[in-house]
Amino acid sequence: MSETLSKNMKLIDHNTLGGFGGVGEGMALQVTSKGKRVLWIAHEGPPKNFSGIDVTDPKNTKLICQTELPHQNMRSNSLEVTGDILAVAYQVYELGLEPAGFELFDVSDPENPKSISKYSTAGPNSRGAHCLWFVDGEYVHLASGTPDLVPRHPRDDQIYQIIDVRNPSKPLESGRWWYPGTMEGDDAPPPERIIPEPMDQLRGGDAFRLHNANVYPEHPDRAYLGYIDGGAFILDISDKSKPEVISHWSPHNPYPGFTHTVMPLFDRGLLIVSDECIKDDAEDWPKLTWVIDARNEKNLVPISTLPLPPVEEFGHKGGRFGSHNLHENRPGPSFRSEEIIVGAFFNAGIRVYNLKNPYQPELIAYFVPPGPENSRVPTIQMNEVYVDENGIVYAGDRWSGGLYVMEMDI
Amino acid sequence: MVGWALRHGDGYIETLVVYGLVTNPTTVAAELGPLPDDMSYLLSGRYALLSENAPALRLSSPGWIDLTPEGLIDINSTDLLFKLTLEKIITRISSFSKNHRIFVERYFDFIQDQTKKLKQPDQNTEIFTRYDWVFSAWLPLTHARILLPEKFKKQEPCFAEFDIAFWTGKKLVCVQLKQSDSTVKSEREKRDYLKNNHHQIEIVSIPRDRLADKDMAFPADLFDKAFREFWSGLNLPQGPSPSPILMSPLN
Repeated sequence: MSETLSKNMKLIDHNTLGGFGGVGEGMALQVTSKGKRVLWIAHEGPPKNFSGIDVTDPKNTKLICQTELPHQNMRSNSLEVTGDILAVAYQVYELGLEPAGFELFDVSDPENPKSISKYSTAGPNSRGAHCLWFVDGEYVHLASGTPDLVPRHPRDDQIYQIIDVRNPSKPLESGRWWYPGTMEGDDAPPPERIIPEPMDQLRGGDAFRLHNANVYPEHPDRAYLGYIDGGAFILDISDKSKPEVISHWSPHNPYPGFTHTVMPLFDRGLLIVSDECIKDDAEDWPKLTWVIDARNEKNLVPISTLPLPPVEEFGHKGGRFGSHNLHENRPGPSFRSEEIIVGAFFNAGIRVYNLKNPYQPELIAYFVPPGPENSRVPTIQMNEVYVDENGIVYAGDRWSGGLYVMEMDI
Repeated sequence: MVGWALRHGDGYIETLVVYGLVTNPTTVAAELGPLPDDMSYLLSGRYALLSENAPALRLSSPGWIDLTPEGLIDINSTDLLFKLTLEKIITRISSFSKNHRIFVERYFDFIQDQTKKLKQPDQNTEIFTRYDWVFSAWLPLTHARILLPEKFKKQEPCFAEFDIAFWTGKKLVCVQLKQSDSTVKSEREKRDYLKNNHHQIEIVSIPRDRLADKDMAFPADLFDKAFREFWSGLNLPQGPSPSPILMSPLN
């Protein structure tokens, strides 16, 4: 792909992050006490831990901070910032390695992050934390292995953990939940695999583990979980020590697995549920973003999907093609809409949908830049997206393109 | 009439409000011509076409509700009729618009509460009770889409969207229930255009927390006295879809 494809979006800046342009699944915006706006970015893999970009002028972004991982056999794929506290997930590539879990940083001086504490989930059956959610300053909602649990299948290791960080120097576990049947000692039988894969690979699909757990301050008693091949869950977490399932919905199978994000639109009684494409060249097509009628939260009903461009046009251009991360309407300096949905769709770029009529979502804008230099694949691989309160869209390429800053004209 | 709603040439303004569960307001607008010379307004279950001197749209205004004699056979009290009116309004709210429903339900509670402030008529001489004034309250036009003039954007009809609108005879009160930071530029531009070009527009924004709490009342303090005292200037209360003879002004 050699030219930009766009509709109602334009690029206003591009930052290759000092040559380390592989962006993971974490982007969060901080506004400092001095009014500086800093976008924190997680990296897809080593050697960098996280980067801080001054986006006070979004047309002229500046890399102001970039930190190193302790070793090369790990990554910090996910992060969140609330106030001046940055939470960074640590995931290792081999069981038992450290550091695994998450680390809290004081970023009140964004150019000099200072470690506050580490929370370890390292253990003989743990590869640590893949994703975290931290938007209220009180709890980190973690998708991670544990020091103690023994998964029946090695890829079912990452479970939902609620960590109390009200005293950020001493994080404490408040509660945990996992898909019944996935851990040794469970009464429930192991879940039936969707598309079985060899068991010697830790990364990838064929997994009943947590990817994202979203909890919003306006409804702190609900957790929305994307449990990969296990589908979507709504949990009652009013008692954090005993999360309870309210409802469960899964399109897998016949659909090919990997539920990623479950985002509630509270005022409308809807959920947006994204799958993640995990294979190049559309081998796992279709990976969809589903619109779910959740007016009765105990009876989730799919009513539509966000329309994707033709697979024959995008499926074989190189790299992944399909749904992945969404802008998650998080609190803070963030665009919060119950009608406009913004998502990252790998080689189909950043796509913006109008959900005014949830039965017929409408594509209203998109931006698909050319494949960046030094990428493993010839196309853009939009991996993560964040939209600020002014409608500025920040998106990251998975391999080398770094940060793309866009304006929406919608 | 697609493409315009506000006519300015002679200082005369005509406003089209498409409302309710209409997925494409352009199709509604395309069906309509300007108001006939002898009419100051048209009201249906999908639109209100208003001259600037149109009378207020009230729950009692004919045209918006399809009450049939069969449908009214079991309605033997003002209270039941009022509840039926609320149900009819709710059918014009999207299933996926919880806040619209909350607002309208609280508005109906507010209407009832307001009538309690009226003096109870002497039951020996009057056939009405103060409760009968509930149908004089302003008609909520849900999911209101107001057609902008052609000069706003010539290539296609454009509508400024508001969550609820009320026509009080003097003002078009437009209510916003959404968070301001979720408004996209094109929506904001349309609203701003209307605000700057329609002298009868009044915009009322309802903060999110005023609807979030189950125990909160209708945010009456955000509306002016003329809105709250909807019966002012009327001689008699009327029910919905009144007989034409009742619509005639008393001499």
